[in-house]
Amino acid sequence: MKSVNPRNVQVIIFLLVAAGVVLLALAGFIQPVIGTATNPIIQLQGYFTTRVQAVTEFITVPRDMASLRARNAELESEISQLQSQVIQLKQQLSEADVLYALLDFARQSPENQYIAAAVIGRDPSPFMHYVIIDHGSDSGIRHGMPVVTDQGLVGRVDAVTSKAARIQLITDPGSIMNVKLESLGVDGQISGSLTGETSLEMIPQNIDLQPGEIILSSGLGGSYPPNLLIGQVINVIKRETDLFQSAVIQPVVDFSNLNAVLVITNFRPVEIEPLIPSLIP
Amino acid sequence: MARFSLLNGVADLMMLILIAWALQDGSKNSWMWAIIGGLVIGFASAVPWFIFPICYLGIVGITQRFKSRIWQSPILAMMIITAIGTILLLVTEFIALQIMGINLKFSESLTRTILPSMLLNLLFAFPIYVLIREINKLIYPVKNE
Repeated sequence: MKSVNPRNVQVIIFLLVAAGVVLLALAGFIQPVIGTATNPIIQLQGYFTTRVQAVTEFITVPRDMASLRARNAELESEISQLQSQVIQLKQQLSEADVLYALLDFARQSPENQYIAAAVIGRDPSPFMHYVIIDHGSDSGIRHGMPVVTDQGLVGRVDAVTSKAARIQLITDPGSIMNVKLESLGVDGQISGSLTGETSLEMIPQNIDLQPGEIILSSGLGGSYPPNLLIGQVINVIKRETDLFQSAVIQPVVDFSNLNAVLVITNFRPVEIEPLIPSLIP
Repeated sequence: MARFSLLNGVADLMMLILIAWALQDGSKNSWMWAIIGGLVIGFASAVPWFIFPICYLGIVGITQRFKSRIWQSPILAMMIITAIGTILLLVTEFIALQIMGINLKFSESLTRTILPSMLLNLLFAFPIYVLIREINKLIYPVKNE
């Protein structure tokens, strides 16, 4: 009988074991064994990975924080600049609205020539109601020229330098001007006061003056052009003992928020002083 | 255009600065600053131009007097001179405007302009004094130490 080669037996046994392992794996019996065998390795790997990551973060994170802080400061600076731009644009938009309104007004009255000017200051004295504008004689502004807005009459030029001019408002206590009542066709006078309240005077007692009456410049005296809107009557004061009736008027211009004005440059006030008779010949 | 107002009164920051400067130990040329400040304000105002320099000079003169008498309490001196200076300046303006033919009622001017202006000036007197004192220390550091 021929003896079996031990090498062949080893091969056969190896193949049988391999086939058995494959069959066990296919049947799902070997997975717990593999899991049990690999778990310690996985845990060990996880332990080392965590430590390595911690060391890596320790080395790299401070640099990231510094760069993030720098970036944050950069973005905050950018936000501040953008907010500043937004405020400037809003201001420019507001100024543009005022200028568009003035432009519309100028187009509606093409017979006049205008110079637009910004209000840059107010009289330092609390007794006086004057404003200072940013255009002067270099722009063609002269003493006595009337000043308006799209709403109505503001006042007239009182003093001029090359680059600026001072405007006396119609609410100034020293301001007196001739006016007419639009619907009644009667002449009168308006005068300012310390408080900025404007009053209508010299209206004959027989005139039926009612609140709401529109007041326009009359052009008498030559200081202002005629038919500039001034305001309307809000309260009539009529006393039997007085020669004339008077009234409190509401100007159409909001003098507390006066930002831009138009100077009428083609009107020159008439100098009537030589025509006023004097006592000394 | 920024100005601080109450009724018809306004704060006179130029006057407060002049008083505060004149009260400082190391301050120099208060008289000159009074004239320059007065001319600047007088140039911008419709009130006769010489009113402000004259009044500011008077106020600086009063300040120099008070400085030597109430030297231990400059804040008190600042308040007193502010009140006196406001009355001096506004009453002078009132008289000048009356002479110019502008009809102003004194009672109305007092209640609506002079007293509110004085209140505003007194409110601003302390912060202006502190500010000017610090500026003075920066300009004359050795003398104040």
